Amino acid sequence: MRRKIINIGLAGLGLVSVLATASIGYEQALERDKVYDYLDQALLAPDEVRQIVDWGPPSSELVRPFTPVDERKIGKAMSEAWSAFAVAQDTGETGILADYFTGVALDRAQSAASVAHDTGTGLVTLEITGQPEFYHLDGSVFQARARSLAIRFAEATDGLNLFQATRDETITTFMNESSGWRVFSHERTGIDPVNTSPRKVTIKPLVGMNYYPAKTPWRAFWSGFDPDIIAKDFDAIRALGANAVRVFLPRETFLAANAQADLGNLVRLLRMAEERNIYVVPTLFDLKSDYALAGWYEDAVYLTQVMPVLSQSDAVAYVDLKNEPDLDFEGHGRARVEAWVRAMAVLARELSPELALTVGWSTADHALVAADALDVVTYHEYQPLPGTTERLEQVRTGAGTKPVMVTEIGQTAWSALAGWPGSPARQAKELAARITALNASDGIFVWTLHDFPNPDPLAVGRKPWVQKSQGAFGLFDANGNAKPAAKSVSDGFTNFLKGKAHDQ
Amino acid sequence: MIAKPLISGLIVLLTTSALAQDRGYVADAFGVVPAAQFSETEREKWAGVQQVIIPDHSPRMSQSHPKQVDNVLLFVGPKSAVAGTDQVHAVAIGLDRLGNLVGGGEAVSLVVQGHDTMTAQTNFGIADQLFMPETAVGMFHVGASTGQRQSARGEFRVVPDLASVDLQINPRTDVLSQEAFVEFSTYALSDQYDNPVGHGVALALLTAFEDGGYAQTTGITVDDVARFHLLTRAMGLNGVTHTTLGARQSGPATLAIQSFQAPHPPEIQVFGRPSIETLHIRIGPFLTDRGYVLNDGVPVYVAGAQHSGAQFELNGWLRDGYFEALVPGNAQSLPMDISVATQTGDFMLRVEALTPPLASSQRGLE
Repeated sequence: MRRKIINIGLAGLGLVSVLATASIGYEQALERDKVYDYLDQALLAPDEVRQIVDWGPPSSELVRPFTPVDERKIGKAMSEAWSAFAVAQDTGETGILADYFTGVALDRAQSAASVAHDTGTGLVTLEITGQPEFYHLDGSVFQARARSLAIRFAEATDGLNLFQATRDETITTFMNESSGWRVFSHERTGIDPVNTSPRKVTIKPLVGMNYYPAKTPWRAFWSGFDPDIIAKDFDAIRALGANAVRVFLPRETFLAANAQADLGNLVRLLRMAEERNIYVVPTLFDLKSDYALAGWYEDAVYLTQVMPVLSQSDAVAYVDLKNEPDLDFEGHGRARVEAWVRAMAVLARELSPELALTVGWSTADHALVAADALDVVTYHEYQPLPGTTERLEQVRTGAGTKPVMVTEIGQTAWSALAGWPGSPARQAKELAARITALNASDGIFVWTLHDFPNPDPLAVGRKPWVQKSQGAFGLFDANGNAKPAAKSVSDGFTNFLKGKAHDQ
Repeated sequence: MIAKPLISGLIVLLTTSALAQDRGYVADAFGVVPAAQFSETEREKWAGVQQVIIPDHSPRMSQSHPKQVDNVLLFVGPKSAVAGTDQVHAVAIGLDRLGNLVGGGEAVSLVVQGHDTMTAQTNFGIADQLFMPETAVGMFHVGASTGQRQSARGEFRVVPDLASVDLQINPRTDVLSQEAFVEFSTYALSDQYDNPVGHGVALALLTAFEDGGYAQTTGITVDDVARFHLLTRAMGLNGVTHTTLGARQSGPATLAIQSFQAPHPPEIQVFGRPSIETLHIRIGPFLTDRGYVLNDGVPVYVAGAQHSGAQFELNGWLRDGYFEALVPGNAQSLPMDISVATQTGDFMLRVEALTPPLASSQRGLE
C-alpha cells in the first residue's frame, strides 16, 4: 500500500511537471504567434496626447482673431507641454522638454522636472480652461490666462507624504517658433481650493453579484454586449434575492475611438437595472496597469466620458474607482497608486458631486487606504475563512460612520484532484459561511454569477489550471444550471437583508 | 495617515514621517519641492504664488514678485506691411534678471522710425502698440525701452500695394515670326502711392488666339518693368494678350504671328514594288522658310490621279519631315499628278517615272 501511495504520488508529481512544462511552452508559443493585418498594427505607434484645454472667449478684444484653428493648435501645444512635463518628472529625461518649452520656461521646467524626479514629487494638470489674453498681430506671441485642476504630491517609501488638489490661476506666454508653439513663460497668479471632502452617505444594504455574462467576460463584455442576455441574467440575479450588481468599465474600451457606442450600451445596462430595482456599482479603469503621470491625462478624459452617464442613472449606488489597485503597490509604488486614486477621486467629485465614491481594495489590510477621500469603504475577502469577522470589525472601526461593504467574496467549484482546490459542495458551504461571517457589513457581493468557459488571460493569466479555477467561481455552471452555491448564497442574502431590516 | 482639513478648504495629507522630517514642502507653478531644497535657491525667486506647507501649520500663501526690468524683448510684425493697408504691431516683453515677466503698469516707450514716440503700459509683462506705418516703401526700425533698459532693434518693411498697380503692356505692332522668341514688356509699374514695384514681382501674360488656343507665360519685374518671353511655336496667327497681377488685369494688346511658309515645294519620289503591285510614295522634306523641318505629326493631305485614271486620297502625317504611303499601282500607273496640302502650303506635283530604288540606308517603309 505504501509503495502504491508513493508511486501514485510520484506519478502525480510527474504529471504536474509535464503540465508545467507544457504550459510554459504553450505560453511561449502564444507570445510568438501573433498575426497582424497591417504593418502599423505591429509597430508601436506613439500615442497622440489628448487635448485637455477648453477655451473661453478672450478677456478683451484681441488685435489678431483667435480662431478655432488657433484653439486646436495652441491647445495641443499646451496639452503636449504638460504631458511632456509629466513624462520628464517620471523618467528624469528633461531633454524632451525642449520640444515644448522655450526660453525661461524651458530652464524652469527642466529644473523642476529634475527635482521632482529626484525627490519623488509630482505635478499633474488635469483640466485647463483657457482664456486668450494677448495675441500678436503676426501670430508670433500668444498669452493666455488659465484655470486648471492641479494635483501635487510627494511620495515616500511608506506611502504619500503630501497630496494637494487646487484650482490654479496661471498666465502662460507662448512663442510661435519654427516648429510650432512653445511655452515661453508660465506663472501662477492665484489658487482656489478644491473640495475633496467626502460626503456622509446613506446607502441601503446591498447584496449582489459581480457580473459578466457567461460567454463574454472581461474584455469581451462590451464588445459582445447583448442586452437580451444581460436582461436574463439580471432576472436571475433578482431571483437569487440580490438587489445589486457590480460591473466593470475597462479603461481602454471607454477611451477608444468608438467609445460612444459603448457609452450607449452603458446607458442601456443602467436602464435595465433600474427597471428591475437593481443597484449598480460600476467599477472604473478596469484592466488599467500603468500609473505613469503622462497617462493621468487620458484617465481624466475617461472620467469626463463616463461620469456624466453614471450621474444620469438612479441605479448607481456608488462608483468604485478602481478594482484592487493595491495589487499594483509592488510594481508601481504604493505612494504613486494612492496619489492616482486621490487624484481620480478629486476629478470624479468635480464631475459628479452627487455620486459616492469608493475603491475596491483586494484585502482588508488595505481597506482604509485613502479612506478619508472616499465616501464608502470597500474591500475583497478571499483570505481564509477564520478571521473574516475580525477583519471586518477592524475595518469598520477605522471607517467610522462610513458604510463598509465587501464587494468580492468567492470560492471556486473546480476540482483538480479529489476536491482540491474546490468542489461544488465546498463552494456552497464556504460562501454560506462567509456571508454569515460578514453579517455586520453593509453589503456583500459574490464573485461571480456564471462560470466562464474562456476566462480572459489578460485578467487571470494563461496557466491552464488558473484558467480552470478562475472559470469555476460562478453560481451557475457553463450550461446555465444552478450549482448548490446558488441556493446557499440566495439563503444567505435573504437572511442578511432580513437582519438589516430588523436592525433598522 | 493624518488628514488635516485646512482653513482654506484644501485637503493636504501628510504622513507621520513628515512630522519628524524637514520643514514640509513648497508648491509653485512648476510643482512641489521639499522645503529644504527650495529655500535660498533661485526657484524661490520664480515669480508667482507659492504655498508653503509645513506640518501642523496651515499652508501659507506667499507671492514672489518680479524685480526691476533687466531685459526687453521686442517683436515687430508683420515683417512686410503693405503700404496704406497693413498695420504693424510692436510688442515689448519685459523680463527681470531671472526671466520673470515684469508686473503690470510698467511704462514702455516704443520708438518707430518716422513716427512720434509711443508709450504703452505692461500687462502681464507685455506692452504693445498697433500703428499704421508710412505709405512710402522702405525698411523701418523700431526700438523699445523702459527704465534703464532698451531692446535690440526691430525692423519691418513697407512694401508696395500691388493690388493698386496700374498694369499696361507695351504694345507690339510688328508681325511676329514663327519659331521665334519674342519679348513683351510692361510700362514701369507703381502703386497708388507712387511706390515703384522694384524687382521680383511676378506677373502672368495670358494670350488667347483666334483658333481657340491659349498661351501663358510669367514675367518678373526688374527695375519696375516686367518682361515676358514668348516662343511663337504651335500658336494661332492672331491673338489678344493681357497681363495680370493678382486680381488686376491690364488692357488688351493685339499680336499677329506670321504663318509658316515653305521655301519651295517638297520633292516627291515614287518607288515601284512589282511583287505586290504597289507604289511607295515618299514626299519631303517639308521645311519652313527658316530652314526647320516640320515636326512629327503635322497632318498632310495627299490626293492623286494615276495615268490609268485611278484616283486616291491619303490622310497622314509627317515623320522625320517626310510623308510616306503605299498605294496600289505599277510603272504603268505613271505619270501621276499629286496634290499635297499641309501647314506650310498647298502644292501640285507631277511624277513622270518611277524613282530608282534607294540604297538600303535610305529605305523608309521597307
